Amino acid sequence: MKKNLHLILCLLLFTSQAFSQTRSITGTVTDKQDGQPIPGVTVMIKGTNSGTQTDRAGNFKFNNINGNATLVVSFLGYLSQTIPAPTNGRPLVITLQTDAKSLNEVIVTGALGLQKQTRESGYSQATIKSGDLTQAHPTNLQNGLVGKVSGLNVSTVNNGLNADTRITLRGIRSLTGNNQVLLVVDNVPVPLDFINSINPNDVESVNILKGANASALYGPDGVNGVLLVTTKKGVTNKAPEINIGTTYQIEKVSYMPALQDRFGSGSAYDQFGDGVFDPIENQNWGPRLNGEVVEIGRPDENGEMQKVTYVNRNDEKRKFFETGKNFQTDFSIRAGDANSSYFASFQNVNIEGVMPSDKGYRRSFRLNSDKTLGKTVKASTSISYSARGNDVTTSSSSIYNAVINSPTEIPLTEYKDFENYQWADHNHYFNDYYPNPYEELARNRTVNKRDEFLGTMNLAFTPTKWLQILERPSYTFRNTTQKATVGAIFYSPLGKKIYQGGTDKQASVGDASSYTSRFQNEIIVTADKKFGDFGLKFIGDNLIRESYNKFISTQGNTLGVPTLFNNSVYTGIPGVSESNYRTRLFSLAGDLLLSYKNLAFLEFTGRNDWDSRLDVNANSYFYPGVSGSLVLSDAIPSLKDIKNVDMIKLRLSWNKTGNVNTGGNNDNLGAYRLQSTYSNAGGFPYGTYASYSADGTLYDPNLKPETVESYEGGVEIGLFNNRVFIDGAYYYQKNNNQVINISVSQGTGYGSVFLNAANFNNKGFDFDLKLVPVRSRQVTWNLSANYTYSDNKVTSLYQGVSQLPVSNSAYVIVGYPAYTHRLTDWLRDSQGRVIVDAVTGLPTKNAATSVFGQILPKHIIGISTDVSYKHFNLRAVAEYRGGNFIYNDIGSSLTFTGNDELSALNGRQRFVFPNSVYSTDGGATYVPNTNIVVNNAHYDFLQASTFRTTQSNYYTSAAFWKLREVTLSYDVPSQWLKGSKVIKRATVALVGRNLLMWRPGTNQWTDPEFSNTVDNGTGTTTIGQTPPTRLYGFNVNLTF
Amino acid sequence: MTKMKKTTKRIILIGLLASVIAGGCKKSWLDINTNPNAPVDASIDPSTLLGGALTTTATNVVTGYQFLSHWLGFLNTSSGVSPNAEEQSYNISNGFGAGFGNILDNNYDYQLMQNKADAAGMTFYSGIAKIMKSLNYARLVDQYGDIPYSDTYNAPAVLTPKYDDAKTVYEDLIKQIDAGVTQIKTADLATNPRLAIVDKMFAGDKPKWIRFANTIKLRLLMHQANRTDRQAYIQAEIGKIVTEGSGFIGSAASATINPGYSQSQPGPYYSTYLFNTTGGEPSQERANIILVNELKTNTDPRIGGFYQPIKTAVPAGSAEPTPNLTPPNYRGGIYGRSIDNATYKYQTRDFLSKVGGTNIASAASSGTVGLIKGWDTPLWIITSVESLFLQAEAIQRGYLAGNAETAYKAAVQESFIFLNIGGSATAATSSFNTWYTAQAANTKVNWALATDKLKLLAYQKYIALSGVDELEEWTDYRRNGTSYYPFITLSEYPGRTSNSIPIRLLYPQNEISYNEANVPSAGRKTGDQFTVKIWWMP
Repeated sequence: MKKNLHLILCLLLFTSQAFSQTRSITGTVTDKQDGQPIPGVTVMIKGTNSGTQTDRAGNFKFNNINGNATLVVSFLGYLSQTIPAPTNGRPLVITLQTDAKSLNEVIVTGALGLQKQTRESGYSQATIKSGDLTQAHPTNLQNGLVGKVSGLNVSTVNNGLNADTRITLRGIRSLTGNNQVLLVVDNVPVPLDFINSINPNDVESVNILKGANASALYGPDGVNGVLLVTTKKGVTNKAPEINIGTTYQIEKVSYMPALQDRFGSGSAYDQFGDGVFDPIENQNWGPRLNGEVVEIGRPDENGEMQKVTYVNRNDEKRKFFETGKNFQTDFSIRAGDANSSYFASFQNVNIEGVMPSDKGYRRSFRLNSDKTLGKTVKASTSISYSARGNDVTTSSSSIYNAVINSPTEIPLTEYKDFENYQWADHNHYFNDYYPNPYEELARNRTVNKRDEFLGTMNLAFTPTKWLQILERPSYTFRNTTQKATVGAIFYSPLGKKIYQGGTDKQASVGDASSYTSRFQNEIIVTADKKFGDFGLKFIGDNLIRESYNKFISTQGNTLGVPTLFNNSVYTGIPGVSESNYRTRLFSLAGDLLLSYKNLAFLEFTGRNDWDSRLDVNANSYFYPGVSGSLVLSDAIPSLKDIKNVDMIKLRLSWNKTGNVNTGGNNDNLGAYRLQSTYSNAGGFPYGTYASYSADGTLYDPNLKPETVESYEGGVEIGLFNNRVFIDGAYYYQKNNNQVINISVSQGTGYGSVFLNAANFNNKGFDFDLKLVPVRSRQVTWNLSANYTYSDNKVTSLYQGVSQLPVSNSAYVIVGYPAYTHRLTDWLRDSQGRVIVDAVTGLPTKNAATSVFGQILPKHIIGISTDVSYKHFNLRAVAEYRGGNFIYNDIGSSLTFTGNDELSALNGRQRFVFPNSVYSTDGGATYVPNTNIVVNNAHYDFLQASTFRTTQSNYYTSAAFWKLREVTLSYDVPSQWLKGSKVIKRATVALVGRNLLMWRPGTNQWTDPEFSNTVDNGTGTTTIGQTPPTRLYGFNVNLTF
Repeated sequence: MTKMKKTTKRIILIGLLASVIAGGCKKSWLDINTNPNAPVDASIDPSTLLGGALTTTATNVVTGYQFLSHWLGFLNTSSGVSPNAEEQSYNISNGFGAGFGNILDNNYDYQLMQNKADAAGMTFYSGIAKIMKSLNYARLVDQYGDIPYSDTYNAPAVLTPKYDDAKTVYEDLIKQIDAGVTQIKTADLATNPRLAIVDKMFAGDKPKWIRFANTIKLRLLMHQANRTDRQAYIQAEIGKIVTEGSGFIGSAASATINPGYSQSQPGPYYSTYLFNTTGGEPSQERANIILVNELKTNTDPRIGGFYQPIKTAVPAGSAEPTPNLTPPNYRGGIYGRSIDNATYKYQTRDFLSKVGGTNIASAASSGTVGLIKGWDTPLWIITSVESLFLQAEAIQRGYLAGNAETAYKAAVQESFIFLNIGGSATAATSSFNTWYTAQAANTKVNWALATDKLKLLAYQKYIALSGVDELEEWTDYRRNGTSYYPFITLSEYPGRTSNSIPIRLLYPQNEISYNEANVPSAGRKTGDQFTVKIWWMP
């Protein structure tokens, strides 16, 4: 602080000396949000006609300026600023804030990377700029998108170093196929999981094309909407600017499932119904904790046993997890001369997970460059390479299982040093049925490595002013290798007595390697001409693509040298597998945009695909579309006279597209799904004796794309000098000819048939509101909110089939939304009361499953606030999701072992089953039950019998509010940095992610966003997802 | 003008380039959707289907019906976290038993083999397909009654095959077997490529296949023998077999298959009950007290073939919770009794007998006694033991000519040989003779003393088929009635819902969900397993 004071004093001194002289001043104008220089900004001297414009690097200069002059800085799309001319001769750094008012004038990147004015588009699209994306410094780009745009649903479905995300826009369009967005990076479509390889700091903007209408030019690829990622480019005529940043974040388990804290080890009860202590059990059906010293495990070689006090140690389970660390270093440089520029970056991320000894890294490089050749040719390239890797435990779910299910009184973390602590190794660990989780962590490891390359080139040729021809080849490849190892355990004679010690555990090793590539070439012709009031814009596109995947794996079991994890020391028969996939696509697309007076627009799109995944004689499909927009406030001038109305725009669109659902994914590319296959008959081959057996699925060789017909209407309104901006859209989609894999009678020879059959409708409403409640010189407060409503209904499946299991408890049922839970429930009377036996007081599980609620959220609300006060900036993002339900299978697992809070219902004492009835006349009438208690409220009822397997007991609302991001940043005042002469800009920030969550009290298990799959069958949390975490840390960023 | 020209030229050039690229997109460029990873229909012929299909059939026969070995008294689950309540209570659901899917799946491979063989004129393969399908379909009827039969394997044209009457199916199976036998008799091995190599059961030996086919026919006819209205039919059909003249599976000529079992790919019997591939113990299955006590009552030396001596002796003087007879070195558990280590200390695995045979990891050697002779023990589809018992029954019933007592003794002796009692065929024969002489006063052994010869045959067949073919054992139990098997006690499970063992299985939920219009209503719901009879039950 003292140093700063000196600096300020010096500055003051210098200022007074320089006062009231004419002089020259220089400055740079940058965008407040992303720090990019803005060329072409008008800088005027107030009260005069003299002014200048910033050059391509955002710089401007005045000579001989009057001492007390004031500068007015203005640019289309930004709020103007009035600044006193500096008197110290130092260069000015002026940051301009985007003006919500001019959103309608903003140029956005649309399909194929072509730029257009938002006013031209007849469909919804949204942009998130880099500043908003990376405010909380997420490691992965998708985390920066959460809560910021209506219609977008980003779910992180588990926890850990390889956390998977599911990204959908506007609900679903396919019952069984892909519903996730298309990812396009620098105009190259890439597999969605490429998103994990992107350095978020490289991203200039993400444009979100919300529906099939906006992405019509992408055809079936874009049916689920598109995330169009544009990376940063260099700026011409700019001295090198170097950016260095460091982020350090820590990650902590935020909460654990609610566990009972009253009972310890045991799995039986005595004649009084009280639990019996069992020293070797993993279950918690023992007696009430009483603080006395008990012996656990089995006697060691000297006949001694481990002694612990019989008290609650549930804390130990949370302590098992470490504090994760996330250390991120960024470096980037951008520069340019008159006709070329470049942007280069490097990022290093090191992560230590909350699971002990899990660690990972990502290193990414990027070089974006461009050069203008003469007047007609511009060439640019974009190259990125990332190397990711991690070293994680293979069996995180079984370890979590062993941790959370260890009995209440066990001092779990004592067993960490399993090699030295006498009670921790496999011959002495107390538990007969489950191994020491620390030893399991060390025994089961997987090392993953993944290299990813994306290179693309743009060659733009502009022979005349109105015509441009663009050639865009691109290539991506991904190489992954994996080595999974399992260590051996040879039990001592004592260890052999342990239940699981009966058989030694053998060492094994598995190696896998996969190579995926995608080559694509695109030629785009653009013609843009005006004829009086009318404008015509035509785009023609030709795309050729080839995708390829090769996978090979080996497995060596019962290794001859148990400490050498190499396939060459296998014994028995090694496992080997290989697969190869290749698909090709040829497509022609056209887009014709007609405009009138730049206020009315009509756009026709068409795309024809020839897809190798479909029958070679019927692989050509045409997808048409039309959309229109009208800027009402320009068309009807009287509207502009209404006070506080700035702009009103209407949009309308229709298109018909497809979804080539051959059951594909990133690895198999959807290839070869028209012919039924055979595989090795059970146990075969024996030596050289091979034999095959027909597989269980019959494929329809005439499979067609699913059709998606979309209607969309919307409105954009700007009010109060554009301090209020509203964008609303309604959409309706008819999804027909859905490909389903219906189960059939086994008398057909198959288990299921893969064919086109089902239909469903999808509708919803997106709403975005942007407000600027406060806009003053010192304080700017931007507030934005978005709301998404989405719903769908299945209208028909196949011949008399009314339901289709998807996975987990997710079903597609005619008349219900996809996806709907089907769960086992208690037998109930017509009023929904649970029927209990008149003698035993016990309820009965209904043998058939019942239909429960929907799985996908019906409502999503996102709220972002951004307050700037002087050099401080506080941003926060919160999100709500609701209207959906979740089945917590994790609760059933925890009840099995008597750990779940529900497993201590009524203290395991007999009770009247709530809301129950009984019948004394064989089911003719039911009487409310007020006095018949369950005859067993212990192991037999809760664990062994029906309670645990009646899924409705673990079914809850999936609603939540989450505080997704909080960032408090401080821009070091530029004056302070001037002394250094080197540093142009410095920012420090405190960041936090997922700091708080609110959920209904009935959901006592885990994050309802979690799921054991990223595929369509979400809505089930199992013990496979380690507990949710929160992250917080700080960031320092310097610009030179 | 010149500028315009230049531009035009440029555009034409680019256009040409584009059309060259587009022209490259011929149909053949997109014709790449042939699966390089898995065989498809075109790459499969009958010889690549036969071995797997036969092995699957044998595996289903030998290891597919463990629940029946529990119900009928051969095995018992010794310990484990939770008992199978559904099985132990007899209150089975539609999901119980895997036979429906397993058999229809296996038969589809035979059907594909038959289709391909017919198209290529490979009559031997086609004949085998008909015989094997018939064996499987009969086993499906024996579990479910009416089954999808005439309408099967016609997808996608028929996705909901109709169900056929069980008796009609049975009669058609006999015709199918006859058709198969005719095809085999006239087949030319030269037009049935690789048959001798891929047929690991009979290596393309025609007489063996025909004797096998005749034995299946005899089995199917004997199933109906207790129905008075079927006598003429049975007589006529057996007459045809006799006329055909090839006879039945004879001593030591069981229909078995060994695709190449080894230590790393052991036979299913070995890997189910003795060791898995990593040397671990795969099963908690132990002896059931029912068969153990029967064998002990008869001082039957085969006890050492069906079971192994217990690992840990019960301490002398311990209260015996289970009424195991002496000698104490073989012990069985009681089915359905709660696994409570505190109360029933000696019902745990170390105090109960394992499945008999070798107890070390090894290949079969000629001297090994018991069901598990080693990791390479061949699996059987029909044993000589059953064939001899079927013939004895047919003789006793007067369908076949011969001496019933001789046939009976040969059948029981065949069981001794099958288990290799004494370590060789000769030793087994003499062991049988010694034992039979010693048991001269035992009405459960001695032919002459037995008042009901069929009951004696049924009793000894029950013992001989234990662990060999549980489904056949269940079929006999149902066609002969419980009065022949008074020693088979019921499950002790507290939640047992019936005082009888189920007589059929319930149609799978999948069939009810996806072929609802065709699945017979009898056999769908809980309770039907005790009341809805299989057609051949009297």
